[in-house]
Amino acid sequence: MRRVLVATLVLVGCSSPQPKPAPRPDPSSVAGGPVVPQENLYDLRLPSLVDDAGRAITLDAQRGHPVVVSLFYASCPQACPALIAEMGEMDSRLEPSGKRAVRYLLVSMDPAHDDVAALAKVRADHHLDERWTLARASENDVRLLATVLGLRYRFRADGQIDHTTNLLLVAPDGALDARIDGLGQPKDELLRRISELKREPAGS
Amino acid sequence: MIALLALVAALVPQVVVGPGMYRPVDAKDPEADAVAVAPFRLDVTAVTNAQYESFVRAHPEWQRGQVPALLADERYLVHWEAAAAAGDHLLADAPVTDVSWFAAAAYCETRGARLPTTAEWEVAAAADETRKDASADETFRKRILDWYSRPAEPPRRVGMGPANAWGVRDLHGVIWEWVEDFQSALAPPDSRNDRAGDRSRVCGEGGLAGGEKRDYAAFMRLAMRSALTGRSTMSSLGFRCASDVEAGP
Repeated sequence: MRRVLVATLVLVGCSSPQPKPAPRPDPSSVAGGPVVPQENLYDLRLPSLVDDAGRAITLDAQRGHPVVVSLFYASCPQACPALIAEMGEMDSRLEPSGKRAVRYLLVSMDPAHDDVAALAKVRADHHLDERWTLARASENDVRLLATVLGLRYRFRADGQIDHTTNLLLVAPDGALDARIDGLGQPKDELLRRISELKREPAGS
Repeated sequence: MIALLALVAALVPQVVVGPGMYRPVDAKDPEADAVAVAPFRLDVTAVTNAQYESFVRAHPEWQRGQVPALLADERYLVHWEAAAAAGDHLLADAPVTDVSWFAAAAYCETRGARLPTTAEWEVAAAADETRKDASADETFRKRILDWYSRPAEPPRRVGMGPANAWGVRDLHGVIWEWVEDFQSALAPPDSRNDRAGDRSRVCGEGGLAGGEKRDYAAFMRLAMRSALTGRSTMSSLGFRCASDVEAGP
């Protein structure tokens, strides 16, 4: 295949500017693409993962539960607080058994600034219960997790981060279930899928 | 084995590249968004089939058939004859390709190295044979673009191309190369405000207005990186490693 074809396809997809009266789904934010059935999150090790109580944890700590994984950073001005709020709103709409089963993992993409105290403050600000894990990891480990999520992100000179708002839904056995554009999107599909996953046997 | 790998690592030729400035082609304000690149070491040539063979023999978890689907797609090392041997039909000293980002990063890590960042790779690649920054030269840009328009050629031994002004070879005209932070390509702004500029940032239109309009090859590399995922493999995509310059006395 000629190399130029790849870039041409990308350009063609973006060639018609249109007025944007309301926020629309951003195709680049699900750049990780559809999941392949055999992909399993727990094939990834993040040795530096630490939670907001300062405890070392493993990525598969919530094996046996459906897990919603996301990245954020504490000084994020708009998208991250909005995303966490949306996740909380979705959680409130889960039926009781779904609520009991689901777990949430939020990992900071800014370990240089987000220490354990900063994570604990995010927990307090959003009133997140024990089903939520807030964690930090090394820059390298963050990059590995972000890549699995299909997140696009770039540090700016002013310390802010340009980033997409991907969510990853993981089955109880770690199989990737879906990559989702998190912000501003209806969560009904995610809700339904969490309810279905919690009924599947854990482990494989 | 670790001592052997350390010895091998010491034998991989690297040169110091930089300092330099990288102006992202999708930047709205090329000067404000310019990235200063500190000096770093870069492999003179891309990682070869022979080198990658040594890696998978020492780390069988990275052999074809062993690598989890999370970390490489189904075409990982698809052209190799066997899981731990490229085979005689491939040149031992040709660049290894059909390797994912996770695999390339793991390889570099076993050498005590890493992948170059986008900024680092682009600073290295802005050089022609005599000038460290030839990116404004129309002839240089045309040469690179001509390669992008040609059909893929059979692989050849690394190092056949001339050394650029930094001493690095084959950054253009051989393979696409992984960078550490390909995830940064086309990262949209955080605020998600309803600004007309957002769509053009995602699609690169605004970038062409702000950045070097005529460096179409750089934009094509941006487009390539924005289409990749961590498990992607391509027969024209390989990599080389970079490392930090140690603080000297």
